[in-house]
Amino acid sequence: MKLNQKNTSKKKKLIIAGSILLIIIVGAIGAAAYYKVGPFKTSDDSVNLKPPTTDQKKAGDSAKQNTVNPTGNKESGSTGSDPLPPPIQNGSSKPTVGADITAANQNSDVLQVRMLIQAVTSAGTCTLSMTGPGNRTYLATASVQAQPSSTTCKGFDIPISSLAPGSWAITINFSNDDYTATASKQVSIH
Amino acid sequence: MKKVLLIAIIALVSILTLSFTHDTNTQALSGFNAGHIIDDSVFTNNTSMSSADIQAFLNSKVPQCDTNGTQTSEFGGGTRAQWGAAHNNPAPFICLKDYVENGRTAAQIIYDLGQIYHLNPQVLIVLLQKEQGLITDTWPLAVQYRTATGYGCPDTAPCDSQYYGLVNQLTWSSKMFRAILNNSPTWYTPYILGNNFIQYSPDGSCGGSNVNIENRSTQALYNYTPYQPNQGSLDAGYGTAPCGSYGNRNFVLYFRDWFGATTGMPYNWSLNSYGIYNNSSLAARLDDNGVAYLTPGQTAHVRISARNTGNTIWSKNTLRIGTLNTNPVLHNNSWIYNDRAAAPTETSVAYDGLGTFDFDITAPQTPGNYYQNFNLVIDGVTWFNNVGPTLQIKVANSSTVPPISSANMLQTNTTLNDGQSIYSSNKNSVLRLESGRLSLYSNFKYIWGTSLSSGYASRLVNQPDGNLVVYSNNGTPIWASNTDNKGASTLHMQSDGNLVLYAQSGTSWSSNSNSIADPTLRVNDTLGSNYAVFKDQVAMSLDKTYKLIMQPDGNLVLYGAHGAVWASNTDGTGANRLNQQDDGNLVLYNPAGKALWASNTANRGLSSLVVQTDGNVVIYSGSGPSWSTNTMGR
Repeated sequence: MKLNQKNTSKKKKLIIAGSILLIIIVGAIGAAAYYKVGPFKTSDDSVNLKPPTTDQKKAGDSAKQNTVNPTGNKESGSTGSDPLPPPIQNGSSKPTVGADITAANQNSDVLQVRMLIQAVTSAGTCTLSMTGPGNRTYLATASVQAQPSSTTCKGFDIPISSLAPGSWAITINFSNDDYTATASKQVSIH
Repeated sequence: MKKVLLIAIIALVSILTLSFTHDTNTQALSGFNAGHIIDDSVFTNNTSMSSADIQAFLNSKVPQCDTNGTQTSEFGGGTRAQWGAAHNNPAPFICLKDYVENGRTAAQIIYDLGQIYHLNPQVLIVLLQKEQGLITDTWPLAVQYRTATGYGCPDTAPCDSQYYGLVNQLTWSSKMFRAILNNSPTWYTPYILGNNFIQYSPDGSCGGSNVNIENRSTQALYNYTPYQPNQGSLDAGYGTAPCGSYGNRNFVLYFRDWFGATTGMPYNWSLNSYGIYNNSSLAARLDDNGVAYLTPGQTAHVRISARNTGNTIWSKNTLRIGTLNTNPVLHNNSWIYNDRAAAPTETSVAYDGLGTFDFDITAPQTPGNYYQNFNLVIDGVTWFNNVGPTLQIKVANSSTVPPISSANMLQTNTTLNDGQSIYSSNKNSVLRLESGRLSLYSNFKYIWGTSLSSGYASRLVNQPDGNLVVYSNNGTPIWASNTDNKGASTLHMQSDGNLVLYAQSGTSWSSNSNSIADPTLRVNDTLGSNYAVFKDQVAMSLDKTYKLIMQPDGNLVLYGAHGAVWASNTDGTGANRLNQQDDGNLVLYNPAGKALWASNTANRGLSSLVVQTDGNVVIYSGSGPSWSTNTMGR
């Protein structure tokens, strides 16, 4: 009789364990089918409708934090994933912001020179000065156009006929009421 | 037994966990091409998602919104509501999936802008995420919407309020993207197509490298975020790295994870137009409704205009239009090879550009129906993905007479009565008998008509003797083609605007009103003075998004991508003709000549009505715009 009771108890445990396992499997399969993941992921699903991953949320939160607590120079600017660095203070003179001559390409009969200023403004002037063979010079000015997270000089397209063949040093100075920027580059005209 | 069960459960849980978490592992970003971040074809794929698709996507990314900010803040400072209040952004927090501005949901706003600026809505979605995290944010702050894409916030002044809000922010971003895609001369960018120096980080001391920007979409992205990720940033997946930048990296990561690859098919094209002509000067078009009628051995000229929708630049040296079968039925000896008809006329064709293929075909000697498919190929590389046009040639022994009746023909021994019309199959040209006059409008333009002083025209008869005669209401002939010796003929209103009478021996009469020298360039977005739109005819913008339709119910309606945006509200009045008159007035008439609606712009002199790609329909007179539907951007 004792032996029989033991067997019955073992059977019960087995049935309970089996049932739990079955519920887990059915639940998992159901969830997988609902969310179209795992074995139910269809290859032609071009849009991912799963909840965001932790990494995606974290990257999004980081952009959010940059907006509310910017590391840049003002509260409402410098948003997004790559906030601008603050201007560098220069004693009593105007602060300096970063700048690059992004392009200086000879395109058939024109030299295209482009400038990136690491600030957002629509005020100010860019002054381009070039010094070439025999100390020949070329000067030009342009106003600026604000971009979403930077500013650019309104493009210098210099006729090659104005430049002698050889090496030219390009310098662009930007200035407005609040800050200045400068960038230089060497280019070979042929 | 217990052990076995335990092992089984652990194994099962492990397998399921691995299966579910496979997509969430932090992965380095591989294959990032700094000079070609995304294809133009992907960037501008405005049909990738409907507004319902976008809404479903936004719902999926925020399963539960913490509107009241009751959860603990990720940034410290108590609850999210407390943190928000301390940073001048108190609850409630409206998640993007629930956001509504001026009656439009965020999903609808994103979709609409994608259509207006011909951009992939997925690009705008990713932009909102990479700039403000708005897609995944369960408690977005008001300031995040105010500067949702970071546009218009100068460093030395408060953000310009004209840019505030989701609609304004997305609109300005879209405008900028489109301006750069169009290489607008008035929108300056720090970058050019070609070699550019691009920093790795906003910190200039981190350096940078030269990047060869290959396409406008990549140029547009750098205009937004002027930095390229360094190797550390790429290796970090969504994480951070020394001297890193994340805007363009995250753009690709989000796009790939949510919508797939940023680079599409290299060898895609779409058919812009094609036609079969009598010769290479395209003097007369021979095909209509896709069929050309040729005599045995006759040579005809084909022009195919193809749009490059892939990311490979076409070269005249390598690209060919050809046939898959090696013995094509329409082969002509002028072809490059037996099964390669021609190279493009243009030296190179970039994305969205048009390539023109001009070549001759020769009709087979045996009468019958012939079909020949053409596709693009780069020999030794690949055939293109899309199926090209199939030319249909009907070869008949003695003539090119188009058979049987259709709306664009008047058969022999049949009559066109008062109030009836023959339309060309493209609906741009019409021969109409109305109010006592027979009138021909070629590509909407009035070309010719009988005069009331000669008699009140009541019918046009295509007589069995081959003569085409207009009779007055008292039975007197008032005009004839004088082709009574040609035998049974068919009058054909052709898509090139020419009205042609075909007899067994060939053309017996024509109106010589082939109004466009090159029919592949035909446009119908502009109605000049004395142009008319009859019922069922459509004038449309160059991009074919906006259509001004003279509906059979009498209503003149302007349709945009999402439905009707303007109407004359003249349905049921019997209006059947819209006239751009030479006095500058735009008038809707009924068949009796009664004016039912007008723009009231008379006395402005010669004017033109233009269906613009921005959605506005405008009448331009010599002194400027005199009237418009005011539907720009709708």
